[in-house]
Amino acid sequence: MRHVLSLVLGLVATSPAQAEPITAAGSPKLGRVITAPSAWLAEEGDVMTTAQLDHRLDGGLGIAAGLGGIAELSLDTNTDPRFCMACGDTEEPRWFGRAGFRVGWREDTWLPGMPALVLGFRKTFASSAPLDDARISEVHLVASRSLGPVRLHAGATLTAAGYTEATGALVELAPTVRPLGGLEWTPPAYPRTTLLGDLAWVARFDDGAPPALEWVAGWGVRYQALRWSSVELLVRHREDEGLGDSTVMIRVNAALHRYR
Amino acid sequence: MTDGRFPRTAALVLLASTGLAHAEEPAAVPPEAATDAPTVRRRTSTLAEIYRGPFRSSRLFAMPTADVVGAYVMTVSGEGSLLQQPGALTSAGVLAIGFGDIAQLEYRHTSAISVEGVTAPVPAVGVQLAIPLPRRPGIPAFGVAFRLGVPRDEQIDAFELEEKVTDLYLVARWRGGAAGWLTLHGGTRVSSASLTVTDAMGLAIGTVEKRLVLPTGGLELQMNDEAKLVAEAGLAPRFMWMPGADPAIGYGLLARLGLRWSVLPSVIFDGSIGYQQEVGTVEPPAGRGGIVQWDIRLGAEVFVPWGALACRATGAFCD
Amino acid sequence: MKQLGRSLMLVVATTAVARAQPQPDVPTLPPDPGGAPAAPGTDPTADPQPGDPPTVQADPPVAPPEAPYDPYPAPSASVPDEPPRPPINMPEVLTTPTGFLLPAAVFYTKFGLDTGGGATFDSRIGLGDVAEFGVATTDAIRQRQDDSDEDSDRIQPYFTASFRLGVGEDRLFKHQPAVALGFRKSFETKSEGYESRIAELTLVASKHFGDKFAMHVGGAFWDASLAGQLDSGDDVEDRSITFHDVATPKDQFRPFGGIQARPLPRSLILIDLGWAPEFCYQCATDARKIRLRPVLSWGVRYEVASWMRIESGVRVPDIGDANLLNAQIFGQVSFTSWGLRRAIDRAKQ
Repeated sequence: MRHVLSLVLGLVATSPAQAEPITAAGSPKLGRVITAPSAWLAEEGDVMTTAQLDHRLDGGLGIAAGLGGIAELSLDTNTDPRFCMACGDTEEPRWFGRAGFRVGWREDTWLPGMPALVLGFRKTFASSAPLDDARISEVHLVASRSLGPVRLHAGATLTAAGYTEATGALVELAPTVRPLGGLEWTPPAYPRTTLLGDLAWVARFDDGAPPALEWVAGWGVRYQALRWSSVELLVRHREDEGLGDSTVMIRVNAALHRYR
Repeated sequence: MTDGRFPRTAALVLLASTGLAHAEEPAAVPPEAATDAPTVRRRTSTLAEIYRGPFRSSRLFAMPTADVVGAYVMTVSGEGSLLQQPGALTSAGVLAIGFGDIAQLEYRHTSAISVEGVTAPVPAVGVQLAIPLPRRPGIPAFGVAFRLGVPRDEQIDAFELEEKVTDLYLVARWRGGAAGWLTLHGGTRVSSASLTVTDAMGLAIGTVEKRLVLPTGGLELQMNDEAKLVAEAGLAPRFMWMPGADPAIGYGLLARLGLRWSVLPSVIFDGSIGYQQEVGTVEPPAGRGGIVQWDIRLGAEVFVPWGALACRATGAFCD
Repeated sequence: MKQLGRSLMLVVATTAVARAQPQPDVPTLPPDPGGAPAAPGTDPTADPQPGDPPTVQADPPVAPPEAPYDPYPAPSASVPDEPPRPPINMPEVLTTPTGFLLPAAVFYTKFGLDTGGGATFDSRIGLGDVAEFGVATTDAIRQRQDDSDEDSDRIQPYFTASFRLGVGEDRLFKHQPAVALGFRKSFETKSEGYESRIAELTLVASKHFGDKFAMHVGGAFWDASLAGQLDSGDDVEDRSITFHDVATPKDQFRPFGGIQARPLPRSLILIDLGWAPEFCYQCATDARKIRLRPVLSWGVRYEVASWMRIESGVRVPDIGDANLLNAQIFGQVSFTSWGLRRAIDRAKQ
């Protein structure tokens, strides 16, 4: 079923008939920096798709649709959380299916100079985790503001996670607040290129222990190759991880007008 | 999927086909960025015009520079040494793909071929960025390079050693204003090195990890339109272990002196002599007089302006 | 006598092969005003240095009005004439390196034989007018068994690779000698159960004085390694030593040099003094197991054509002992080719 879902998402994303310019600048804003969510929402009727692959050949797909210009519905797979079954061994990322709903306001909606604001809720609905019934729920509040060539993002997440032990007992992480932040910079000399950097907290599952949150810092570059598509080259570092265990990944984003 | 992981095939198909495969013109690029474009991508360009460049290399011999190969350009580099290890041909290859104007993705592969067989460690990837500060004469350019380590196995008696180094380079490049023939490179290499020793039974008998902050630098002397002398020196992690002792990680000097010769605008030939005995091996240091352990290394870097070629052939990726 | 006969046959054979090579791609020696060919290292037609980029010749003069009408004129967009190629200064005197580097993309190949049965091969290519890479076999490395062994034998073939880089004469300032920093290293060679390697780091300066005389002066820093059963007696284990462990840096350094004079337009007299390692496998002390021996050579180079030279002379492998019995008469033939350079120039157009 997941193969079918992946291929369908891929076919949708590659449909050339849907490729139209989204903005005059040809640079649609994405609902995340690298790991941290941003306060940008997909335009009304727009569909944003993303595919990613890292150097360990772990990948992910995502799709987000704008709703009325004030909300966004998303569906994605990601490998952000890590699991440790026999702790001491290398912790490996596992695949999660996740749905999200975000509602917010654009920049300058109420007051001049007001940042964009988004309140979002994301919840996992499927997992390849070795732990039974592993799940993560997250609420985030993010503010984003463009300042010339720079776009700043700041906010906080409230994250809860849990899984069921072999004994049947539920092991949970109580809702925990963590900050998040991000930076996007489009140098004037390179109008297609955006430097990215962010910091966020994601869940980590250790067998026999309550889930915990660990920071993930990322940096990289987004290149607007086409008016409706960009590519990203990213490096991501995690807490308690040596430099040699960092992750290098590429992403392809495509913005489609599905039903505007 | 059976191991619970993401379906890789689907992701690969999507990455290969999404977006970039379509021949749609991108947004117009302002002139200041266009001047940085390595090659002009026009449907009417001839192959001679396409391969005339200009092309930029993103490295000296080993250390990264504050440049990247550029958008829609790919480079294939290879080098080999018959003398670094007695009786073995050591070689290394790098595939660098320009990821926009200021970034590149690298794929590295090293191997050693000897009479005992072929040792081909796991390939690794790297990311390199040119910090997009305004370019003015006399102002240095800056860059960042991240290179994931390649595990390397070494056999000593019945023990097996696995060595791994991951590097984060912060580099600067200064091109002399009046002395345009001189380019200086300097930087810091943050190395995360690990050494694991296992015995014949496969049991780990010692592991050491260390993070080192090491200087690196180099210079280029433009000798004529096509050739420049290149010197490069820096410290690099050095692994130390002897049976009965704990493994340790120190550092040693790595230095190369040679030339880079643009045989054609799209082909660069490298030749150098180098000192790197105390680096990346548990062999004892040779000392200053130990030139018998220096090596001669030859290599080449070939630029492939795939964007311009695709533009000429199909109309995709044109300026 | 039999060896000499073989040597002569090989020289004649290689010469014949070389003569069969196409002539047109070889620049002829430019004549001087006196009618004699110019000496290598000078160019009477212009003032290009070996490192200079080739100059483009001007278009040929237009035919005068009274010239007969040509019904089949050459197409105006013809291939431009090949730029003049400067004479090539040789990278070696007889056995020692010079400060001169081969021009970019120029091939150099040399074959040599001597009356002691030694055979050598040397092939190089110029890189970007500032460097040179080559592979060679040498018969200069010698071996002895122990202190009582008075006659040393050569180890051959002894494969080496070399890389040199430097600047041409008068490149940086007037009267500046050509300077080259070179590194030569051998592959590991096994002989009589012993494995050995040599390496040599050289810095040499060469200077022409007029068009008939040139001088070469340099210093070499030697190193070597030797592995095998280095101790006499029963139950001894193999071990290895290196020259830098058993000798001081002063012992590793040796000066070398040579001179060349051109008494006739195509002929040069050459003399050089160099050094070569000698391994003594079971000499009493480690310091005597690896030693450097002086080698004196003198001879003549005759420029058959600008692309071919024949050298012959005498080499004394250990002039320090004044042992003329080990002296050898050698013959060498060398070839140079601009073919690759022409191909690169065409590819650039």
